[in-house]
Amino acid sequence: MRLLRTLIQRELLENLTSVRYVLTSILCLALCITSIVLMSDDYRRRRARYNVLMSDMTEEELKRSLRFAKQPQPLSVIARGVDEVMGRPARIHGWQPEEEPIAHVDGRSAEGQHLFDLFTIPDFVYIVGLVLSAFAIFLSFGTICGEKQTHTLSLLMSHPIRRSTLLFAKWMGGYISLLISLCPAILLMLAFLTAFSDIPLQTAHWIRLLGIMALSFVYLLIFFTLGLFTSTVVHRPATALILVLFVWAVWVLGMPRIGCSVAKGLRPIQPNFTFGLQKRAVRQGSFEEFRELLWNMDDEYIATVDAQTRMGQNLSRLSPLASYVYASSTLAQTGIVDAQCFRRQVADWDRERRRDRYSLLSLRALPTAQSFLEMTTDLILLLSWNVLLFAGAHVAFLRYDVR
Amino acid sequence: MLWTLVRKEIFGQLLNVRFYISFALACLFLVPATYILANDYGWMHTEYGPYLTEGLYNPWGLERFWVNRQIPPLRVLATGLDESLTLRSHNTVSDGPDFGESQFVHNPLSDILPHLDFVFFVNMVGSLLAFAFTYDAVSGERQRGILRLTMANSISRAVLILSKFLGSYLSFVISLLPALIGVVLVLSVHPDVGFGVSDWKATLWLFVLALLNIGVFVMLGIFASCVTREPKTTLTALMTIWVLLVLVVPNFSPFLAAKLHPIPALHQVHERIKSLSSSRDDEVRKEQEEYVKAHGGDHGSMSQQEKDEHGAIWLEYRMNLQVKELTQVWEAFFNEMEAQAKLARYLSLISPSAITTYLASDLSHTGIESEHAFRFAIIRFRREFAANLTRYMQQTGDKTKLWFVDNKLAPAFVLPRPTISQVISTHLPQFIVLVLYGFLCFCGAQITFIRSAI
Repeated sequence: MRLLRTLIQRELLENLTSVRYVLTSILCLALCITSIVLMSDDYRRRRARYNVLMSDMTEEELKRSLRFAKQPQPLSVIARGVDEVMGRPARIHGWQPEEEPIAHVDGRSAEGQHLFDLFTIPDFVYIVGLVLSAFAIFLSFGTICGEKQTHTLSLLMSHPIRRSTLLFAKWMGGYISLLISLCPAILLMLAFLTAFSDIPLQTAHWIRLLGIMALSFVYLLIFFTLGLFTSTVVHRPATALILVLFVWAVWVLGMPRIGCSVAKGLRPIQPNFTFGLQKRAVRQGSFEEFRELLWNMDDEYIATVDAQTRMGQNLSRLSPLASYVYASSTLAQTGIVDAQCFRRQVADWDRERRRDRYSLLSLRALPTAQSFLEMTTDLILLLSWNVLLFAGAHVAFLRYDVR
Repeated sequence: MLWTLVRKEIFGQLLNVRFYISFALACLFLVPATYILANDYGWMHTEYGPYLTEGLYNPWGLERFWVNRQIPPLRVLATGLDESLTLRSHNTVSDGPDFGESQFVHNPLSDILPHLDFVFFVNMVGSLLAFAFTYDAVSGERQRGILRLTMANSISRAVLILSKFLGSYLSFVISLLPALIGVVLVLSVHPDVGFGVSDWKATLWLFVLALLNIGVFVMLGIFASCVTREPKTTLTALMTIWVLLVLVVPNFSPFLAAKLHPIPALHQVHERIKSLSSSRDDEVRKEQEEYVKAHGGDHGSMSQQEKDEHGAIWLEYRMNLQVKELTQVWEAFFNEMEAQAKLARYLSLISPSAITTYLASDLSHTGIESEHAFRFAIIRFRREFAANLTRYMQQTGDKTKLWFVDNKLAPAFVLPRPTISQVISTHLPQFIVLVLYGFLCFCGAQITFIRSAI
């Protein structure tokens, strides 16, 4: 145990004094602060839009909730997910059941957004998902093979140290130093959230935020372990880097996007517009007679859309980035499951209203416990990747020629 | 001597694992991504059918009509704004135009993880691979002592750096070549992609742009390799540069532009429109009331013709208000948007990746420029349409065309589609900036290498 502690300490000291870690810390700090400042501005803009929409409604509209929008979620500053898209003002027309399902999004609701659609939104999840994951592998790709190249590995192994202990110490030491380099950035970001932004955060939000941070650490560990694994497979740091970059590019840049696109191709869905026309063709007789039939058609259509979404999610989950994005956006209440829940609530409310059972549209967000439950699959996947990669690194290191 | 060195460099790269990884990545990403996007393009054509035939579409002869544009064929290579690109604008004579189409029920995955396209590959993977090809070009040889041996021959340092650049660049391009050929094959064989001559020309320019972008990153890699003494340090520097140029600057610049040049929020535009129309609305309503009084005082007991005329007062007023004052408000808003986009472009000029993204989307007509062009074309169309309709009503007295849209009165919809040479000449400064980056890195590498000890 003492030996393990000594090894971890040595690793920590070595890492924290290296240029790479200092650079990572500075970059993290700069990126996280810039991101939170810009995303807070974005949130304020969206909240202003929402407030105006609500205050702008006539009494009749407000009473009957014919115009509505999803309130922007405070944690969208960390993981924006689908919050902006779902927050666009929508309208339910009297003839809605005969047209596109559930509601019609105002044609001008996305005005001024184009500039942001050309690139990815740089929220905290983006920074961790792409930038820091790249840094994590960059910090760990030379852990074993680098020491072999400098001949310190054989020197180290001439002492009575078990290989598993050494590997564990390197893994633990390296990862802790990565976390240390991240901590100032995260703390400053949270300080900004509480002190300088006027974003209303309640206890539940803090619990969710804590969950997102924990997820981020688990996610980064995957890439750190991937780097370690690669460094136990090859004997030269340069080869390790090339290999690990290849895996990173496929895993993070390619797989999630290709997974979603493949699902679109395999389970195509009709656009809302042409589906609306199809419904028009079906209609005969009075509106009330066919209402239920039209709603059944809507339900089938929504089921098809959800099936495509599910397939895309499952295919893209081969990449830890997708799991991380889904899980963190679910915790931030900006995820796909929140969008589906919102859609369902509006649909149910509208149908009840049309059946003469009037009530005010009150949108309920998913409770914290359920959000945590919803992201369990992704969390298990992330943990499994960690276990698999560490086991791989362990087996490879046991067979590694340290000379 | 130069070509001997280049050949040596190419052979060295060909025997290295990174060449095969680059080849594998290009084949793995580029060909399937293009195929998927080609299928998507075909699917859109099948699904929307006539609703995306360029020009006016008025299916029922009623008051609603759409003004459409073609799906840009080069979307299969550069998705640009992707689903946010307006393809159809919804209108009535008295209302609209509405741009953009968000569907309430849709697959939200595309909002989180957009398509992988050629431009994404070049920007993200291409730049990363370019660094992988060059990070040890000088510092690695210096560490292994090969550089000293090479310089013992009568080779000028400038030639050596040039050969390093050419060798790395050419070998990288060779590793991408099979995938590029695959992309061209998909584009020419896929039944849904019917590229015309101009589309092929644009594709060629996209390839040139990609090669230019890759060239800048290769040069940057060699420059960093000259500046540093160990490959490990080169890598540290290059990874940091890559993160900043590829992941940070392009994505942060639109938000920074929004902060530096805020545009009015949508609700402020709506308020302005509301205040403009509310004062005039009352006058027209009074006019309508007077019309009812003059025709018996009860709207319900009026004849159909009188009812139509009564309705026409409102619709004609709305049509004129829409194409004059209200459109001016929207035009001012769009101009502000354009100015903000321009600022974002300027801010992102420091990143070759951002330049490539903007240029590629403009070349493919899937970017912000194309979106603005469509909007202004619709505004012009609406103005001409209103003028034609007013003229017709003055000549015939028939006002029913206000709610039964007559296609004959609609002008031809003209969406200005600049030719490739026009796009290139408009964006020449950006191309020049890319070339300049490459040149500066080359000069930097030369100067550093001349001053450095072997």
